[in-house]
Amino acid sequence: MTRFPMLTAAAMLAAAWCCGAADLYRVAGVVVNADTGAPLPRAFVAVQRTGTTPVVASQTTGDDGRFAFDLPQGKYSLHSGTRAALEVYGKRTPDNLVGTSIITGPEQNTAGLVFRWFPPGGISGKIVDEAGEPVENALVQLVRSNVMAGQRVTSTFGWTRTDDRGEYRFGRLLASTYYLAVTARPWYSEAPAFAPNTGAPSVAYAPVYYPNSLDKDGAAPLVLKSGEERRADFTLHTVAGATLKVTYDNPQGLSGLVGLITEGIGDSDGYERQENLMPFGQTLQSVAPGHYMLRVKGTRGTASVTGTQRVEVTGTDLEVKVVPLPAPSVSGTIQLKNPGMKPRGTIAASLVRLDTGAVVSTAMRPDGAISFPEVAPGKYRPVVRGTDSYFASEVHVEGAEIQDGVMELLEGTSAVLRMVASDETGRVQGLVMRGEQAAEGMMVVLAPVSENATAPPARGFQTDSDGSFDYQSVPAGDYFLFAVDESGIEYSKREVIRPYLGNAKRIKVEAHQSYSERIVVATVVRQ
Amino acid sequence: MTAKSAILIPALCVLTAASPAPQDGQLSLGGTVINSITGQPVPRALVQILRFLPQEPAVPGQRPVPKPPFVARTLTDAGGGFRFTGLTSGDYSVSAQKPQFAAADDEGLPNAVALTASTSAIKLKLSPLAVITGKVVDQDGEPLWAASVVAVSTQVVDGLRQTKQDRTVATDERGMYRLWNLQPGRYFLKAAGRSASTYLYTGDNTPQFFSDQSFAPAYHLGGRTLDSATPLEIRAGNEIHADLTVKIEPAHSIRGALANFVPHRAVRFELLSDGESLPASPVSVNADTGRFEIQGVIAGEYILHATQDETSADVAVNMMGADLNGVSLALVPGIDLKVITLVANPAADNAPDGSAFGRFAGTSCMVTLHPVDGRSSQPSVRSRAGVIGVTIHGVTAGLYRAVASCHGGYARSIMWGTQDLLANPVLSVTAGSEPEPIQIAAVRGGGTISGRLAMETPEKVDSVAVLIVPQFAGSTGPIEEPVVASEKDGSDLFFQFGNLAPGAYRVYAFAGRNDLEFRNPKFLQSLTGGVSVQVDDNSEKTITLTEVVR
Repeated sequence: MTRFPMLTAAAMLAAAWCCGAADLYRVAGVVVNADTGAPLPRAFVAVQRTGTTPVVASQTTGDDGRFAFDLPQGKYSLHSGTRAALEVYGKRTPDNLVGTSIITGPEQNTAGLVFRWFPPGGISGKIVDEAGEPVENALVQLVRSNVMAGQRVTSTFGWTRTDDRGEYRFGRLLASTYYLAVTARPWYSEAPAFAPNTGAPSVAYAPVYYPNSLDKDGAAPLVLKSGEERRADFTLHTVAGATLKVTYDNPQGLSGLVGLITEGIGDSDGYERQENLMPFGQTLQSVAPGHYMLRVKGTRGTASVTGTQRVEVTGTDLEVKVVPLPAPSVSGTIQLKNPGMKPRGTIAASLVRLDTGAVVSTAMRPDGAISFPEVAPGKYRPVVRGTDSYFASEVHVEGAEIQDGVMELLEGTSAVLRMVASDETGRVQGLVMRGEQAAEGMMVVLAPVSENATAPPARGFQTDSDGSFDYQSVPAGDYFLFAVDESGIEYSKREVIRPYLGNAKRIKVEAHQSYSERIVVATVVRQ
Repeated sequence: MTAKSAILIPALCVLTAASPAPQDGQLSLGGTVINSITGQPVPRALVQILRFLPQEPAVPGQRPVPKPPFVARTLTDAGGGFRFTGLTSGDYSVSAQKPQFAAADDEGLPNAVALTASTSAIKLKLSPLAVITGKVVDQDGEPLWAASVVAVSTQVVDGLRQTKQDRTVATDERGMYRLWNLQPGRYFLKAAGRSASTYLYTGDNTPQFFSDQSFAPAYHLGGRTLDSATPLEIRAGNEIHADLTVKIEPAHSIRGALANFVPHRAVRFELLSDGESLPASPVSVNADTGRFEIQGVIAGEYILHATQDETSADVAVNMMGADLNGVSLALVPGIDLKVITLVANPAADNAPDGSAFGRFAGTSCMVTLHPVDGRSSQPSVRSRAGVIGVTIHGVTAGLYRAVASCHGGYARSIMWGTQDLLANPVLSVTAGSEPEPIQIAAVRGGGTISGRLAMETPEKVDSVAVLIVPQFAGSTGPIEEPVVASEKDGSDLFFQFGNLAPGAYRVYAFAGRNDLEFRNPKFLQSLTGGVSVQVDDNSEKTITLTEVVR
């Protein structure tokens, strides 16, 4: 293990100046269809410096799929594919979002790259009613299950509605595991605008799940292969519906949306319907029996409000009252642990939603103030992000429950969040070896030794073209480090990585120190 | 599946089990729903009958309680047939509906049936809606993903042709699009820009959309502007295939900052060029600072227009094949434009603006501002009629055509500062300015032209209009009025125009037209025939029109 103090920004700049910045290195190769191995004609290729967004170079290949750039020494991300389906270089599997960076420089062989592009596919289908007539405007939910940031997430990937033929389609889909759910209302259950309701019992459509199951437990995955176009047709069946009369507490000035939400597949919400909110009450007709959450999201005057109410629909009409309360808000400060360190870029506070991984962010103002004027109710992990190596070393919350670094924001909550941003981080870099060769595209996992809920999360890094890895801003502490040839490893789960920890390298990371490691790809067979 | 059959309810049964008939009735009402184009029966159409019930006799001292109407519904069978039974005699409204159909009669009003004996002969017509579908490709025939396809219709309002973006859809990665449930009519079809959104982001890295190429708007059967295009004539039930070809060009970014930006609130950008509105997209806006980047803009001269809530900003930009940086846009609220009417000769008991004690019994004028630079974000705005100091609030920056009309008199001059709006009616409103009021000098009274149409073939009254065109400078422009039928037998058609400024006019009659662009000089030059009339103050001229333009 080599250990050396981290270079300051100025020293790094000087280093860049000293060594012939004008030297260019060839980055070239061929874009191929990962399934067939055939070159991808007219592929668009774009180059970014890793970690930044501007495109530094781009070209469109000929029919041979060949590209060539001459780039200064550095670390680059390549994107290529068709205009409608760009992917990052170095993906090991289609539904893995992680790529491999290209390192250019002397003695780097970057002139013979094979860019494996996974052709996208599609899922389409037709939705009909019991009479075989197409159902227009049915809501189709696509749920995807894949591993992101070391964790399997099963969440909504897209929504669409059927056209006049009852047809829907999701295009540009990479091979992965998908689920589908369909909800709709019988068009004839809606009263014409000029007449009152007849008082006839209402009919509704029961939700239906792929493969045409009326039972959510009967929902099965649709495993889409690369470039595959699949059909998933559904037949909707009527059930006795109920009418929901919804009223709102303190309705004056209320506007927004009201949704009937069902428990969806995996971590997703299923929408039975969503309508514009009528402040002085509204009638939701033709609701199929089921467990629902009635959710209001809108404004009262200029203030954001949210409200939820559980509803059990069994087939008889119901009256439900929702109490919309001010949307949770979070304000507070970020204090720098080391005020002498001047931040180079923006420091941001983020709230990471536990169930979906969705992130809301706000930039820290010069006086350290942060403010999230309105946040959806839910459980969040507050973190510090930004261009510099900062992390939240302390998190204090007033006005909301916080446990193991997760705060719960309820309607009406106005929480104060105080975080200390620490730059007491180190850097862990190195090479992954397979025999005598540095191995590109290996997954390196850096996991804290502590299993405490407040310990930093485990991190993954797919090695660059030269077999290197580089973790910046690692909070000081004790870590395990190992590499596997499995890009989709769920490294956030302790039970998944435990078999590797016995042979993993242990590193004690100290603030402002850099560590250089050489590790071999683990060959442990998981039990 | 036993569970399924237990919860299945035959839909027909449910729908006919409506509230019971008002009294014991034995009558039935039945018929067929047919497709107005094919003549084929329409199965599973929803038929509704409705009858208003007589109110209970009023109890002295109590308010009468209205009774809810009697309503019943059913779905037609496989042969399009329907039948309601157990009805009492009375007046019923009968209507049919089904997705992808419109009621076949013009008004969409339900058919009235006076039920005195059982019938099975009611014919209800449904008119199928139309579809336009097709593919968008580039100059090499490659399909274009996420191109916006817009169905544009035009209508003439106030003698000015206005365009309306009826529907916008995006192509899929195969370049395919589909527009359905279209009412019959004339549509211009265009591909315009990328279908994307404005993304609010936090931090230092602007989201990248790899939009280094885009395309100029392209009309189906035309070029890049509406004037060059031929509309598609869509009839009921048509499914029209229309492919669009666009020319991919290099595109660049416009980068800049929004002043007066409210953090974390949505902003909308629009690029205006040649009277066409282009969606500016994709756009990324830093949610904290208001710094923005509009990607995928091809070379050309544009007005860049941004709106956030009630504020907006405009700036002229010229893209010359490279990124444009440092564009500054200051969001400001729309300006308030005052309209002042002064009447030269008010009636003795009228206020100077012609109103009598706040009522518009005297002479009053109003002004409408029609946007003329193609932006979609600002509708036409109209002042109230003529009290001193009426204000048109929140007029956003842009070019507008001012159209004035007066009651009880006529406008002799309309000035906006030093601009004579009768000679040049286009206002250029700039943001943040404190504009001069629009001053209308009005004259009470005026002349009258009245007359009748003497035509060889009778016309439907509601399709005939008369247009009078002033033949002198400094007028508020031509005026169009519908004709009215005489009360006697409806065979004579009359018209009358009052409060006209004195001068020479030409009078024309039109039949079957609702698109008279009478503020378009080209249209006026195309007119032939007509009758000349000299109008004097406080006098009436009567004419007879024998010629009708169709």
